[in-house]
Amino acid sequence: MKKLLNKLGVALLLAIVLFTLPSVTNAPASEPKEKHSVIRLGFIPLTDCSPIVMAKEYGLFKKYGVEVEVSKEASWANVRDKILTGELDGAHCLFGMPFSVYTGIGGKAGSEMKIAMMLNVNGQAITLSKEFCGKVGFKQVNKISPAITEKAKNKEVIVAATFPGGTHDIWMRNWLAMAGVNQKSVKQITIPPPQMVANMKVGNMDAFCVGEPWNGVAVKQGVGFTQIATQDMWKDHPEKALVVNKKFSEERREELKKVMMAILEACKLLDKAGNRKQSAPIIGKASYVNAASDVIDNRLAGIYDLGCDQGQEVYKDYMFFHKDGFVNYPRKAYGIWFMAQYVRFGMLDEAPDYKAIADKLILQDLYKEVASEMKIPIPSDDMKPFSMTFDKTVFDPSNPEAYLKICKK
Amino acid sequence: MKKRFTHKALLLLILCLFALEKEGFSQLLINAQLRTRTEFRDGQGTLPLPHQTPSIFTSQRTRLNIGYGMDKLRLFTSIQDIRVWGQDASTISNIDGNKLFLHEAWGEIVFNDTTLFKSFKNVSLKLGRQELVYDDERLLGSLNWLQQGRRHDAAVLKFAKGTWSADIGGAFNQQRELKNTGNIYYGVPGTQIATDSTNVAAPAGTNFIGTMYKSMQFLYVSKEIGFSKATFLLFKDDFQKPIAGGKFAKGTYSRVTVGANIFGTLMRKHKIDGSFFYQGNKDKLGNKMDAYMASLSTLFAIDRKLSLGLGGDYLSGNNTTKSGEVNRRFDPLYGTPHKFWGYMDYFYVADAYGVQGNVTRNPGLIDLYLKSRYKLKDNLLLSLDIHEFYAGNKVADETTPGQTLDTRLGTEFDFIINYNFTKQIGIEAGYSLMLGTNTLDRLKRGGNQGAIAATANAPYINKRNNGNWAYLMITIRPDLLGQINDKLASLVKSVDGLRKDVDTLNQPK
Repeated sequence: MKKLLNKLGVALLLAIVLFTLPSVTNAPASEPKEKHSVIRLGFIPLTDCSPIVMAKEYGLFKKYGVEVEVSKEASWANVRDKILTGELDGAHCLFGMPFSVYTGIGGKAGSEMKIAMMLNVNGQAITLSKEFCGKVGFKQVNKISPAITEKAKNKEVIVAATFPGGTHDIWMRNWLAMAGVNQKSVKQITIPPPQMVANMKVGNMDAFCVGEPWNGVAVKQGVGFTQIATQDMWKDHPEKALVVNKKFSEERREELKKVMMAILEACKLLDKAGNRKQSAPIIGKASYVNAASDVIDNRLAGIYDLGCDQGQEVYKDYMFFHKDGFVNYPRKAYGIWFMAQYVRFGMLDEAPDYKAIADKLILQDLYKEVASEMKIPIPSDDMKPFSMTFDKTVFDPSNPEAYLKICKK
Repeated sequence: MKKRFTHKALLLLILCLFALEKEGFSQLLINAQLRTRTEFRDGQGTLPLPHQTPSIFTSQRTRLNIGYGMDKLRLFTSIQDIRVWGQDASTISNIDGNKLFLHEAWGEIVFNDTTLFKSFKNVSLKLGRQELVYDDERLLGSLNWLQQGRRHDAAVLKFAKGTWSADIGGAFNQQRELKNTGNIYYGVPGTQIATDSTNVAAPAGTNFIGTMYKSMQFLYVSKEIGFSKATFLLFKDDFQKPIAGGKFAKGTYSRVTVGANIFGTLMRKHKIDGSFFYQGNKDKLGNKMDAYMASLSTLFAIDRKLSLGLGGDYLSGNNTTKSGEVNRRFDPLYGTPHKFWGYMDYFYVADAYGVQGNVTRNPGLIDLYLKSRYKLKDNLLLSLDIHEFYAGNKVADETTPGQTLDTRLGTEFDFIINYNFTKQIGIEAGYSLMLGTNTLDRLKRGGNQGAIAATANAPYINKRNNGNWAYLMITIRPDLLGQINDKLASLVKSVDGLRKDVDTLNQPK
């Protein structure tokens, strides 16, 4: 009898749990989809996932005749693994990640992740914990080193980025170099973007570099303050890319082109201020970035509340998604620059074959094809020398060695 | 067995709560507001007479807002209680003054997904008691400063496509359910508190100075252009025709207001706003209307903490040296005057302004101002505004026929400290000073005070040449649903622990 009651209890429990489970997961029980019919794109909760999310929300994937599922991923390492295994066909991804993975810094050397197009420029920042309030101000690079040295007397200084060799990691390293801080004098750790603020709150790090809205959230919660935005370091720097699985790019090329078209159209729409304002609450939803829409909206509009009683900085150069095609063109020169940074900061012992890797990983021809079909201008500045805004050192993609001889390390 | 079953039941309960939270609460909004404002009034609204003594009181607004969204429908209700501390008969009185009422209660039907409106971002019909808030609230606003706020019983059809949006709205008022008795709207005539603290019948007006409109219709169109915005408004309000003895006749007088705003941004940091509106046809008394308003204001971000702005508003009025039936006084409709023409509310609010309070003898207003905002800390904002007021037209010197008075009315200083103690608790304190002229004194003698002087057949008593006003406002805004969600989240968090317990219990021993 007891057994019967127990079984009945379990059955009842199971029945009700199953009844409530669709609500719990907030997703209708879906029928198994035929392999390859649905394209799976991942994203990390960051404002610059907007082109993928809004292409979905605007119904642009449908418009171009592709069925796309978007999925929120927990970390960049997750994104890497899923793209490499094909669990994801593509994702919103750090521009530096494919180079980092291929060269063996952030994954198994020789693994190919393909860059189909760029999603955005600018819009990342370095946040310092509130402990540095009053000691270092906004863009006061000369005060960083003394403050870090002072802090290091009592406790190891920890700085965080989101993926080894990714954009945030490289911005953080450039920031330290700019400030004259020895890279080895601080501990560098990796934390997924949405967990940055919580980790700083409990004292797990002193500084982090991440995309928005997490720098804005840190300010709003009084956890830290914005020391510098990445556009102050390099105006219109490459940031996120649409990175795809190699097999997918080869076997489903036409579908990938449609995906790119939808995302390009979303990028165009997102560059209009009015559309951005309206997209902020959508991007802020729990199923996407899960952050207050006012923070997303402000930082998307280039309005930065800096925190630590420093007032508000309004940027003319903030996160852009299209700029008449300037943003979306995947430049090999930038890929070479990232690999040169790996050498610069000792992440690689010797120089890789820069050009060959850039040629292999960047699907520039595919992008040109798509852009031409959409009558989007293709910039002609690739492989020409350029320099960062803060560090005026000229980088010639045809001669990274010359740059490596003169840049600060 | 019993222990196991208890655990399972608890797990079940929590899972159900979790489901409820995710599905039901995601579209639910529950928040509240409690706002107290203690005011020291020694010349707020109008200059005080020499023998008058300042008043101090505390008013309180308590609001409970509940909203719910579902497929093709949004619902929202805001219940509020407005009172002044001490209004009850006693601390144990069961007569509380009946200050509880609905501020808002509307439903919005969304048509976006229908075939006809598929290409629109939003098409919806908002029905019921609602705030009409557009642009900077100069002409249509919530009047949030006032504890009771402002609302309309209306229907508004809303469209949005790309960077364009348009609203078409209308209202038709009756004082009660009628049966074969026509549609004459008597409304609920308002009263004012005169400077001698007595209630006086108020003339018809738009800011709680009298009977409401019988009906209204409006069209609002806006277009966002980069970080700037251009808007257009056509607003027609119809007033029941008044006849002698405070009664009304069949038919309405319609007032039409039409104009546009530009809210511009220069180099991302600086703001330049401009407005022009014309008001014509008839006023509520049947006078011909021919009035306009022009405004230009700036706000420049000097650095990351300080903003400075200059601006000027012109609201037309009548030449009070001449008699006539044409009403040239521009009426700023149903907006938030407190935001614009000085925080002391001397103009376009409850206290009369004009020669003997007569609308066709109101000289209008010129307001030249300097605004400054300084963000001392992340949660502490200081602001200082200085207004220089002039009459917008000639002001007759009633004591010396044929002569006019200087049009300068005075200077007002408004200083405010705004401090966010926490996200839920805001503290605002302000002090304002009006240095008025003899002309301001003369123009603020309308309504009851003029009547008192006339009754006594005595000369006017000159008012003081300055007025003071200070306040301390504390706003508490708890996010009730957030609290419930937090509690639920912590309950849900314990599911894992309980599940582990259950698993342990179910393991074969």
